[in-house]
Amino acid sequence: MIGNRSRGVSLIEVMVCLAILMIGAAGLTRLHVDMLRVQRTSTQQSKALMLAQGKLEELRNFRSLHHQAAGSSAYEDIRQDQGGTLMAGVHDDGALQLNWQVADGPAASEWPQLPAYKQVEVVVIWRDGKQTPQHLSLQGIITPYAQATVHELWFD
Amino acid sequence: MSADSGYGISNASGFATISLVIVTLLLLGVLTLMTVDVMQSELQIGYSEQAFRQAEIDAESRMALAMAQLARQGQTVPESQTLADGVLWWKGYPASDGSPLVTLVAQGRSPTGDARARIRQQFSWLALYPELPPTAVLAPELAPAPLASPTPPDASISEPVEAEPQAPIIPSAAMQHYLDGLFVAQGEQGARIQWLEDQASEIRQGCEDVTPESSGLILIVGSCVPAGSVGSAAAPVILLIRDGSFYLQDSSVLFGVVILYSSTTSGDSSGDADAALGSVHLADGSRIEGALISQQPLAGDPRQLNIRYEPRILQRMQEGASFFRLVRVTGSWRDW
Repeated sequence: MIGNRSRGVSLIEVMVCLAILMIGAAGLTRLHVDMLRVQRTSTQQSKALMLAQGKLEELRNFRSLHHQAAGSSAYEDIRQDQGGTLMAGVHDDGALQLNWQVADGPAASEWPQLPAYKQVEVVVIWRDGKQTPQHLSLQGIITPYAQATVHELWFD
Repeated sequence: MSADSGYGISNASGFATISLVIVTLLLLGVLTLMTVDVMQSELQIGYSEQAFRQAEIDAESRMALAMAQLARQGQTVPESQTLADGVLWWKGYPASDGSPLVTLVAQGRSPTGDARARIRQQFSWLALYPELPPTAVLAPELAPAPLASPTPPDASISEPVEAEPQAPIIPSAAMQHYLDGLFVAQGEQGARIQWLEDQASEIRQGCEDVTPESSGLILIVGSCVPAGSVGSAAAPVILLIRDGSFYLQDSSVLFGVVILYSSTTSGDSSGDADAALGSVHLADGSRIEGALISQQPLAGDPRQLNIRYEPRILQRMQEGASFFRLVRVTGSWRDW
């Protein structure tokens, strides 16, 4: 009689433990899923930033003002999704979508002392763990003078 | 008694088991929360890095605008002037040759305004052509002798040329040394003509669009046949003619320096001259006011070419803004 009662208590204890474990495991699983999603978002964001930054740097480092032979980047080649060797489209095994827009600088009346220059916006789009579209944008200005004519000078 | 004791022991061990499970779960939960917190921090760092990069790019853009204005205005840029919004700058003269050294400090911010960046860079100006041609014609296998007396300037040409200076006579060795410094591919020397190509403000296929208004360093790929005069006495040109010949038509004048060279030769100027490439033809009444430099031996007698060595015009290649290039001072870039 007493032995049966004791086994009954053990069963209840086991069930209570299992219930606690299941609730706890469900919470931990949820946290781990969130953690993985955050990690993935962070990784994708870093990759997107590197991709956008690399593209902007590449556009800035054009070699000549006018188009030349293949393999040489030129200022006049900087147009929407054109210019440089890093192509517009998908990167990182399709995880990132790279595009860039190019617009003329502000009106001449605002910058009368400057030649035409380009405002470039590099955009990288990707999807996070919930398949929600995310995007990163870097905006910069490229002038026809600064990069083509500025070269390194060593002061000995 | 014994039964009560057994029940009490079993009850106590049950509570202990539950307690252990709860404690274990709590530990796991705390560890997971800490990990999540680290990941959130990493994500926040990523956002902050993104914001900072946006701010830095904004600062670089402002500096690019200021650099463009410096490059455009040349060394005459005054001490105090607004170059671009958010850019501080000052000018000094620490270099021994008197070239001004300009320090730019640009500040930028992210679109959301939650990040700021500041960068600094120093610049100076470098003469494109510091070693002017020492005589009117420089070419291999050319004996050092005075050139033929130039014809008087055409009255239709508005550029006044007062004197008729004689071209200096330089030894063959000095001439060859000059040519080697420009063309021969030996270490840094060979990079000279390539460096000049890189500095060209215009790159053209042919000279149809090269006019009296043209100035500065112009690279011509192929033969060059201008429709009329090129450059002016006040604003001469340096024509780099790669893999082509030069033809100056009737009564036209080129003010500046013409440099003919080949991209295929190794720089050994002792080879045979190509009859089709690298030749110079000056029609009657036309002339070059400046100098002519050829990598290959010139066909015929170059002394018969109407080339007038004009030091004053050549000197302007060391004064005009189009003959200087803005250069970064290596090691002066800072972000903080």
